[in-house]
Amino acid sequence: MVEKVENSKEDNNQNQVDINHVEVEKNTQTRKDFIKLSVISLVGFITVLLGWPVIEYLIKPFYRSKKIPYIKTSDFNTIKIGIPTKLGFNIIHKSGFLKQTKYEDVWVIKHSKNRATVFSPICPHLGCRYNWDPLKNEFMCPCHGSIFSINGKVLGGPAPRPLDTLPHKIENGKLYVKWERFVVGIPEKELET
Amino acid sequence: MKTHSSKTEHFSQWVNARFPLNKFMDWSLHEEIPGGASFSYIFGSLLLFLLGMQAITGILLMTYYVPSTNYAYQSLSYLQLHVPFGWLIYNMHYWGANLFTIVIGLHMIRVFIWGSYKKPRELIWLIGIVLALLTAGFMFTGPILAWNRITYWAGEVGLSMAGTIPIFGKFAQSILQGEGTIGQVTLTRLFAFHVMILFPLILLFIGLHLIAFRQQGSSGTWNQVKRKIKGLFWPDQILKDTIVMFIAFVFLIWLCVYFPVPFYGMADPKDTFFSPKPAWPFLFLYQTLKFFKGRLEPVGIVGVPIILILLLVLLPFLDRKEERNPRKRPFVMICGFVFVSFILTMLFFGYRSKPASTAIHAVQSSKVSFQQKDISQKTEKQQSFHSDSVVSNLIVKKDPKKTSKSQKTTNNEFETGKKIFTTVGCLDCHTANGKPSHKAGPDLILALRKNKRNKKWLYTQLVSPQKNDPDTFMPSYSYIGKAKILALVSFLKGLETTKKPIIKVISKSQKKSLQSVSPKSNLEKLGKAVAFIGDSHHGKILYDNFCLKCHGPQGKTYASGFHAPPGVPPLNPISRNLYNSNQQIFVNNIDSRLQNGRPNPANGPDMPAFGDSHSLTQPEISDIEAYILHLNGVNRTEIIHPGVKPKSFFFIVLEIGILMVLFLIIYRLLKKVPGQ
Repeated sequence: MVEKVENSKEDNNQNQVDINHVEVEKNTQTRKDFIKLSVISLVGFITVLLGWPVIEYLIKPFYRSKKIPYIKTSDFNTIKIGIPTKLGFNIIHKSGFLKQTKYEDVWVIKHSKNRATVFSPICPHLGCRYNWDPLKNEFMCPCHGSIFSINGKVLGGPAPRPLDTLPHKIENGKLYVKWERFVVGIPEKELET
Repeated sequence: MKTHSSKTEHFSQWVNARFPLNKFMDWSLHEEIPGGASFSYIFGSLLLFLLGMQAITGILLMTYYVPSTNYAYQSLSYLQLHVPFGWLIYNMHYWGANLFTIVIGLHMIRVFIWGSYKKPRELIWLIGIVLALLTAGFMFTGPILAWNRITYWAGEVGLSMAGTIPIFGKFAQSILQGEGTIGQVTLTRLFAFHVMILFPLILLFIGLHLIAFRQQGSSGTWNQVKRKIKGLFWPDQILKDTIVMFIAFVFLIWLCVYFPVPFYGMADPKDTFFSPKPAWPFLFLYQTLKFFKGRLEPVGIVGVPIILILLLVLLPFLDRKEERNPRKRPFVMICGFVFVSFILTMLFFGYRSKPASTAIHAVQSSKVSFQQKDISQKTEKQQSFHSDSVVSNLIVKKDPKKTSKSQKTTNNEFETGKKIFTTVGCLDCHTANGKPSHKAGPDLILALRKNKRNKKWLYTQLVSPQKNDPDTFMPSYSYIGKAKILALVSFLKGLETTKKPIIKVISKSQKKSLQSVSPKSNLEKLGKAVAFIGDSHHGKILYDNFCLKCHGPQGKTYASGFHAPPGVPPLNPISRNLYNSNQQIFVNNIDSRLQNGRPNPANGPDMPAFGDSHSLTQPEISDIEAYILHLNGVNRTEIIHPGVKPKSFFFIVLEIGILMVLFLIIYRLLKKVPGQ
């Protein structure tokens, strides 16, 4: 009798321990899950609220629309009609905090006193500076051999589009050019941001 | 779902066959903490988090920063005002560094109280000291990179101090400084040290610190009963660490928004209105060094840091009892308390004190006081800007025959008075060559010989001219101090008896040569000053010294009790032709007047050409410009492209943070998540 009672008591204890053990395990699991969720959300919070400023910081300053002024070029009056000529001017180039005066030039083909075509000197293929070949009457890019006619048409080579014309105006016999740059390597003429 | 989990399992198997990823995670996360996780153990993780933030913000700063003496300050100003969230990144790096330093202190105090440096953790403690010293290196080199007025001089003091250490000092100084004077090479080198030497070193030593730490495991509580309860690093301690990181992050943003670093103005090697002091983590050292005077100075400079470091290094070897309970080791606790309170007291007094003439003597002696700078600074090292001595040397050119004789007879006071006379602005209105003058004031030799004023009258004339003549527009010079006024008085008295003209007027040819000193192309009419963001507080000090005597207190020529000279315009409010609500246009508008001067339309004094004559440096002009803008309600340091306005950003952070915490609390209550 006594032995039996003792045995059943032991059994009871064993059962209780088992139930407790399962419960503790279950509790630690929910607790672990909760902590995982908390840690992920807190770290995520920091990542997002730091990541957002960081991306704006790195990229945004260069997506501001810039007003490009018309700049007077050197002697438009004296150049010969019909022959592509390089005309230069100084522009204030702003890169970050630094403002620098830079000398740039463009290809100008004078048609008459009041009419001209202005080509950007940058090859639309990959951004090299091309030259005028007076013997062949062609524009030649030294980098990859793109060839353009005097009208800017592609005659040969890898250039995806004709030469880029630049907006300009002629006032009192003086040529004013807007120094714009276009994305190279694509068939469309698209302003660089 | 099943395929997904089997796929990830497959992937992790693939990785683990090639790299001990699981072992590494196990090593870094699974650890028992005797006595359970606690908020008192968060400092290490917090430091790691802050270092990560410093690395991120530091790299981001480098994407805009230029380590050049000409452009460092400008590029950082641009970054803060024109780059979206530039203000956040810059201030975060600044406040992160300060927080890092403070948390290192707290971490060390925690380890000390818990006795966690004891056997077998001595090496963790020693590596920790190396980390603290590396941090000191960061805190020394970092600020100088900003190249502003405060940090430039802090660097100058620090490097000079290093140079006074016997034998090794000159060597260390020349490695860090590169050349004889602090300049471009110094900046480039300190930049290299900061990012390419100290940073890899701190990563290396943190690695060692962690490896040594994991080897022994967490020291846990000292209570033997509580030690039987075992907590886990993951997840228990990690949760507490993350909560603290979250709070630290929000706290950092709060600091950046409400306490942004002020614009101190461009570093100015010729500045004479600023007293140099080291960065705050070194103030305790700086204050302690004041006890060591004269020949003891180098002893202090070497001895004090060595003793402090030795005390820390020897701690685990001197205190070798096993007992960790702080209540049972009162002697060590008292020693620690004395050590910490000594450092804190010295820090406090160092913060409050004015620079002493002991430790920074070398620097101070090279920084000649303003009134003498034109004459005596010519041979000094700080000629990296322009030499403004050119002008006054021409003005003060003496008759060579007369010189030898007069030097014997004139006393020192007369000579000092003459120096003051040529530098404080008397020559703006007066001449002293014995001929009638075209200037606003009378020629002093003629006037003094005619009127025979006594010393008392002259003194009053300098201190409060209106007492002698209520209608005069002569400004008061009381600000230069009694000693200098007395010297001026004896100089003026001496003028009565001098036979030959002492002050020569600049001849036309000399004027031309002066102009060739500062060539101005038509393209660049504006001075360099317009590119610097000035400090209006420093601008006020300069204004009071250079501009107040004509333009009145705070630019109010109409202020009661102030006698403005005729033809001098008020600056507050300034003429509407010059005013602009855009700070850059406003500065551009007023710049030429400060640089080139302007003739007076009435018979008052002309506006001096502060820039052309180099009587003010470009950084100083930028400060005065900032102050004039401030007087007219325009903020020179307004953020033009903030991304999101600082305060709005802080509220966004706060709102999202609160919502997230609320969500976690509700989740916890609903799911009945048990406590530890």
